[in-house]
Amino acid sequence: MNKILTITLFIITITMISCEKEITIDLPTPESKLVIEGAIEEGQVPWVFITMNSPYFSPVDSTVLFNMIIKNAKVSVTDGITTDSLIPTWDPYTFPYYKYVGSTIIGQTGKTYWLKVEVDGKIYTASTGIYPAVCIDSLKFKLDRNQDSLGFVWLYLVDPDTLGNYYRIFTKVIGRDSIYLRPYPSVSDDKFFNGQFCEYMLERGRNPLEDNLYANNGLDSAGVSRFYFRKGETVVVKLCTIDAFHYDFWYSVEQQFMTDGNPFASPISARTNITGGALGVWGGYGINLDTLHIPN
Amino acid sequence: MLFARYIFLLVFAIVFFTIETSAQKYTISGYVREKRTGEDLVGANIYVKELSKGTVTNSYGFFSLTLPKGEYQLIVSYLGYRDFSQKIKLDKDLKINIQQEEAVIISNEVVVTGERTNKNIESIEMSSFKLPIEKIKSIPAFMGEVDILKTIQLMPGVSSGGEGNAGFYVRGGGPDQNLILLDEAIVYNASHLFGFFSVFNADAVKDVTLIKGGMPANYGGRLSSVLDVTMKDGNNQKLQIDGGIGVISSRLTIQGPIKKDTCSFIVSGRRTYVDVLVKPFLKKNFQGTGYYFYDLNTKINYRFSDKDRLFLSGYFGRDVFSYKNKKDGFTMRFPWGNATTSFRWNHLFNDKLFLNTTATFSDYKFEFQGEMDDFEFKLFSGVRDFSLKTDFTWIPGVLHNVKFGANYIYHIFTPSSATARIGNTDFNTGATIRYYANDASIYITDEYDLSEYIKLSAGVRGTMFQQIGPFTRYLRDELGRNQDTAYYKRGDVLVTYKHAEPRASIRFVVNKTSSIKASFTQNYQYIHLASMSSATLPTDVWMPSTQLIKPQFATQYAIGYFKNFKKDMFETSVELYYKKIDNLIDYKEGATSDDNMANNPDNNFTFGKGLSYGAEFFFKKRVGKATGWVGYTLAKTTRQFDDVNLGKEYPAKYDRRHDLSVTFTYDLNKQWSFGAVFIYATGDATTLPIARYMIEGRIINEYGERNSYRMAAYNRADISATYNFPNKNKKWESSLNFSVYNVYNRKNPYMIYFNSDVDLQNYSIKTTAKQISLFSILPAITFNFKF
Repeated sequence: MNKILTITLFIITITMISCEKEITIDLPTPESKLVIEGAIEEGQVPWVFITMNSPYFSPVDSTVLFNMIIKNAKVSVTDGITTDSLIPTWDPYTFPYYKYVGSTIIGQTGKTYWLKVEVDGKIYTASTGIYPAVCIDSLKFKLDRNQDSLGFVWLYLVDPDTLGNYYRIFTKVIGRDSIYLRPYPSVSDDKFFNGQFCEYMLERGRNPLEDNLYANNGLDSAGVSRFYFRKGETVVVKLCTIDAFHYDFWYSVEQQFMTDGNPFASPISARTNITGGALGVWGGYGINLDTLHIPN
Repeated sequence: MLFARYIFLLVFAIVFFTIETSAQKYTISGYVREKRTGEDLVGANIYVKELSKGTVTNSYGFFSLTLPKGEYQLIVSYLGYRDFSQKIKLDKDLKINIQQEEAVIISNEVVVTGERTNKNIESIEMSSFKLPIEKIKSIPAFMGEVDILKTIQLMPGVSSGGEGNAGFYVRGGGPDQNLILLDEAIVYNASHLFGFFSVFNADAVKDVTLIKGGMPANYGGRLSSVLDVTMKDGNNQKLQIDGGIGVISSRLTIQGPIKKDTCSFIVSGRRTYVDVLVKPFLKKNFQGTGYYFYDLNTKINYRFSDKDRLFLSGYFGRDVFSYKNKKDGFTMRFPWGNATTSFRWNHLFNDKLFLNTTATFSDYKFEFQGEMDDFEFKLFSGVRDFSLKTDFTWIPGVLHNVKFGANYIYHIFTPSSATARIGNTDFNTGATIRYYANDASIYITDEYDLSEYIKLSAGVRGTMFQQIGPFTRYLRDELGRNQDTAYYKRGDVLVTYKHAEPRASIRFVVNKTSSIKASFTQNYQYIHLASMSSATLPTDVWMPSTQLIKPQFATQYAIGYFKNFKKDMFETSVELYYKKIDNLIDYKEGATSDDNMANNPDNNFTFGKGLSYGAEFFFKKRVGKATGWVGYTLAKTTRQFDDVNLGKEYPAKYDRRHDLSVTFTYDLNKQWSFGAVFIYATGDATTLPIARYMIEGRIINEYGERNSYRMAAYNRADISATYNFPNKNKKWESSLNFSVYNVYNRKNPYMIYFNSDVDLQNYSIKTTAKQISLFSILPAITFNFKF
């Protein structure tokens, strides 16, 4: 919260007196690193995206973007008994489309899953667990101030009595969203409300593949914010339980979103739970779904 | 114990050396005061011509000289004042009170005779500056607001944090390593408006001293510097009113005698009205924004006799920022500020032993209250000190000046205490965690003239710091999960630190116009400023040393060569320093300081080392119509933390390879005087992203090595002109001050940020870098008056 405060002070000060100009910057060439993004959900097969990082200022076009995708990786997931080799497929809904997907292992609560990725002779590994789901108590739609059809979804849950529950939340509007989108922030831990009845306000998440439909401030052509849910929509909310290292990754990513460009904050590099020198995350999700129909 | 050994040696040495030959000796003692107002003059020179020996007045204007029987010519001088000269016949103990008169400007000739001695060569002090407030007032000021902190940043070895940062960095130390004293009370946050102005109202200030190295043993508690600010006592001759009307604030000071020569008071206030002025021009989304600050300085003193005197002084200042927007349903308000009180008693036991006892209270707090729709948030942090201090000055003979004393401080720290509520859910942020501490010290130090050429100063400070109960300690694992809890009752001692801090300096006079000085100091610091950000902000949190936070420790070596030219018209010096600091604190990467839920704030810190070394060059012309100085520092400052930058050493944010400042003032005639300042400094070190990658279709940045990128160099020039209205009746004096900040409109970098345009459907990502600058050219005008 201190950070938010710092940023508020900063924005106020800056806006009152500052001026800005574009500059050119020479940065050193970074070390080339593998980026792994993978997950296994309760009841689903595991999947993994593998890409490369790129220098910060290098211009990116379609060729560069597709060269960043690693297509020759050997990817496998094991639960200690069964081993599943993941096979490349095309996922039209999620960037960068080229997705390694499993077939024999289905995510189960209480199990641990080990990921192994081999690229050009180098091996990267990670492990994650699927934790028991926590039930959504109820969902509710509340109009935003001064709006008569737009608003946010409120999620209510009873946190289990043990400390150390970590959550990640997604939403999907039926007929409007092709995938589950995460709000911002999407993760939370229960140290503030251990064992309590608590509530979250959820905005509609942002789908990066639809960025071109909205202006920079998140408004569509009609001037309506992309972050609103509307009357008449049906929203599926996915409440996921995650383990501590998995949480740590997303928390650091969201910390980075918050501190990026703030001169008062020290920059935060996203952490990783992958060993072997790669960036990214391998995470398990325990799942609870609930649907809310917002009446007209 | 090491400390006991130091003390023993020192006391032995003092006693041994102070038994001087038994020639008949007498003491001449007294006070040096300003004639017109009766203010004590601090640091005035008393010089005995025949012996080429002298002394200076202490912080209360007192001096004492013990000399063999004889006739002497006594010369008293003080910058900006006429030399006072008197023949004395010393055949018994003498008491004289000297009244210095301000140098008068005669026709077009400016005669400033004061300080025309080679004090900088003769004295043992090195790495220190003393600035009379009149000098500070003649330098161009930002928005016309005379600012002590900005002026000391023009000295070599002192760097500013740039615009929008009040913290100053002395020889590579952090902003929390400066001991800032206002009438001997500690000021924790010396800035207003996020660092654009300092809390010291120049109208109420008499004198400013900065010590950046060779810190004598009577000062302690901070590693890098002492900024000792003395408030005016108040005119004890006649009622006097000073005031000023500026672009953003107005000031008014009233002082006068309650009983002439015996009791006087001063009340000085200042308030900004920038909020009132700016309101109509605010953009729509900033309407409802309010900001102001105010200061109030008061002091009263009573002189019972030349033997006893009482002082009571107080400072109170607040910054208030508020924002209210009915449409958004968003309101917030955050006030912060300092309050200090000091009560002092001067007592003269005899003409050789002077006692000052001080009781002080300091309080710094920061509060925040915010409300938005169903969300409510409150935050409080602060520090409160109660202190009792006693200092003796013993001047057994002309060769010695002994100081000894003791100090006790009781600290209460509230690093942060937050409460929050969303809808009907009360967030359990944990009980307010307070840290209580005992902080005690004793010291002894002696300045000794070993021979005509060599002067020694040796001292030791013994310090003891305890964290005491009540306290609840949460022990955590590396992922921040609670493992165990320990409870301590009121009065339980959690941890005790005891240390001895040796201090020594030596001066060797080469000839009448040059000398060599060297110093060695070790300091411990038991309180720490934990900053989430790299700038000094009111949200920064003060923490004591605890079981987890070890005291900061610094060792500094300095050596300097001092040379004067042209009958002391020009003063020059070169100083080299080397400083090592241990146990610096910083937040762990990604830590937030917001909650006390089963956690202690000190669980979030990581510890490291600092190193700084450099050369400082100083050239000053101090008398004549044109005066000024040039300071240049060549330095390197690094930090090393095991948990930061993979344990590799990196440059501190304010590591400045080059730091140059030029200050110039010119008195044309009775009416007009001019001032100019030029500053050049190596750009801030900063951390920039060097690579990026995609997760969930979004860009994540990979940062380069900590502080591996340099922003463009900082440079700026300011000018000012003052017109004194001819005063036909002597009673009313007034002047107009015009100033221009950043004359050539340099766009100095304040921060760099990046803007990425990502369009994944068209497979394109474009990134541009942008630099934000704060102040462009800014003219200001101030009207000052006095009657």
